[in-house]
Amino acid sequence: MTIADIYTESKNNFLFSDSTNFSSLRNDILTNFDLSPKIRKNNESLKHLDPHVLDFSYKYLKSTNNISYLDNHKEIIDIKVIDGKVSAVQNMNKKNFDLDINNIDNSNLLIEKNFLDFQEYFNNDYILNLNSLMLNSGYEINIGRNQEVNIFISHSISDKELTIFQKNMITCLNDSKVNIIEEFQEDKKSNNNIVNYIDLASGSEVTHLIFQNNKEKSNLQSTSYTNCKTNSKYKQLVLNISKSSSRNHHYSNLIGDNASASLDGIFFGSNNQCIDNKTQINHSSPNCVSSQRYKGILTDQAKASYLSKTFVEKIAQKTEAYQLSKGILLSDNSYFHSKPELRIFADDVKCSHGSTIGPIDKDLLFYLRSRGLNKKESTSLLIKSFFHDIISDVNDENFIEKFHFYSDLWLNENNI
Amino acid sequence: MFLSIKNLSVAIDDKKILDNFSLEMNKGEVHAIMGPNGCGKSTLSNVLAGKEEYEILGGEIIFKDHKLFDLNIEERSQLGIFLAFQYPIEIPGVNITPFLKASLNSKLKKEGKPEVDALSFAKELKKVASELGIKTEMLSRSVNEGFSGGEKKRYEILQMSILKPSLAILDETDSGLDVDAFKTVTQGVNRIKNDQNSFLIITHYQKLLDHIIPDFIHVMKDGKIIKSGDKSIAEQIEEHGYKNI
Repeated sequence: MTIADIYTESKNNFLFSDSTNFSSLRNDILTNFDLSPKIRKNNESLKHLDPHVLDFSYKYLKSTNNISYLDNHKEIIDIKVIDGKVSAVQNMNKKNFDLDINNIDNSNLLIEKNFLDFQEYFNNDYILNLNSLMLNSGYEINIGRNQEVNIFISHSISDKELTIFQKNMITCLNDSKVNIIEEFQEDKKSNNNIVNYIDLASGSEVTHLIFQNNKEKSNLQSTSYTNCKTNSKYKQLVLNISKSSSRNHHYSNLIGDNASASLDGIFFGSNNQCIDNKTQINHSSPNCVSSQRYKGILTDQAKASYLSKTFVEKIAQKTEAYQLSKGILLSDNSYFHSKPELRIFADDVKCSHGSTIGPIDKDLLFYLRSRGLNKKESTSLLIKSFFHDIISDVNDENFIEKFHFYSDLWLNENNI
Repeated sequence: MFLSIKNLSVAIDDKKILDNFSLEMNKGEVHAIMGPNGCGKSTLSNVLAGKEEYEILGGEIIFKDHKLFDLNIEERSQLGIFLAFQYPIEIPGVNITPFLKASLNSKLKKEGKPEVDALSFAKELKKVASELGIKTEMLSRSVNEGFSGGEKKRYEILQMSILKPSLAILDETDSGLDVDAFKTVTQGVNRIKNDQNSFLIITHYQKLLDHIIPDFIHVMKDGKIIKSGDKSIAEQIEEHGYKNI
């Protein structure tokens, strides 16, 4: 079945299916949805993507928007997302948080407008167009002024071969401090295409840790788009240890003075995995700071790409922006494509980028082995050392332990 | 024989570095190797420690009745070979104390001895560091990360003091040291030196050999030993260079 056939067959089940504006957008997307070999080769959203991601049969179980609420005396707000919708929330009432969590339905016109406004940034991105075309789920989280909250979001699906096309909206009002841990541990064959829009009001701070550990056939395309206003701080780390093909595209817009954003990523790839990474930070205000760091380890025939971009507008003087891309290749057939890009239109900025790709440093390995550690122990230490600068910025001990556990597991599973 | 190197020829990138090199050492001896830059001193150290990118063209090395070329890098270390690196490498995120404990335990395990626990190891490490004038705060840092040149060399000596090797190779450990770091190095060697272990000291300077008295000095040129003798050779080199050797 073609994408057009799938759309026509299921169009009444999509979110905002009764909206004229959304229908018009969907028709535009469909009219321009050209997957010819030339487009697949040249379009940036397709050329680093696992092509199998586009071969799917649409299947979505329409479930209720009702959310069950529970308290279990923990400090963290625990949100269970099943099939793209919030099904349960724990501990929200404990401290009378000024917090609001809802599933999005067709009547939510403000959200619909926001989604349509965001669309203009992604017109050439086939995965995001597919997300808008087949949109079937999503939720909104609104965090009030001065709130300090820890949120844990676990994503899962209820049946095999489901296709989740989800858009979420997270709004953090002035001076809120929010820690979000998002977890994907899916073992059913599925395709998950998820877009998070995050809005940081003045003085708010968000730390967003994303743990991805999907099994072989559970593909994930994760996108985030963050707007950072004056004095706000957004810090994201994607730890991708999935065995499936994955896409992580994350964008931040610094739109107020003294805002900062960091988009970091760690990924491991083996077998025939295809890992498509992209980050972009747009500096649209003066005195903002940004950092983009992605590091990965690949073996077997695994392929990965990382495109990073810093865009500094003319108004964004005193910008400080940093980009780093590093890859370790453990086999002759693994492949890492890195493309750092700086586009600077202001004249008083500090911007830099660096990129290295290669095998494990033989001199480092020799040093550790010359102290009696075997090759496996030494490699494990060097891999932790490789990621150290990114991991040492994480304040969550459980997340760090998870990183150590899964990186060792990955090394064992791949006989390294 | 404790260490016997016979007719060793080694190349890297098709360039011969060691050419029929031979050397014999007994237990408890200190041998110094001097020689101009590029004569093959560091290659010799690296080959003894097992660095893999060298091509062995011929010859053999026997250490404590083991053919060294049959052993990999870590097996040589576990057998008692320790190389103090000329340029110790920084490894961010690998903390000194657990790293060194793992290193010692790999050796103890090989020797069939019980492994050391974290608490008693930390105590011992602190004691040895203090004896060598190394600040305790250094022990909570990552391996060589942000260390000055002198600190890196001191840390090599601390590792040597903990691992108590039977053959320690010091590859220009004295180069670029201030007075205090120099003292740490010489004290460190003299502290563990006994009739059961041997030292192979590679240096450019007589000064080190005034503090660690060698039993033999060998002069290397073009990948082989061209002269061997006592401490007077070092004085001759200090005065006239390598021209008349």
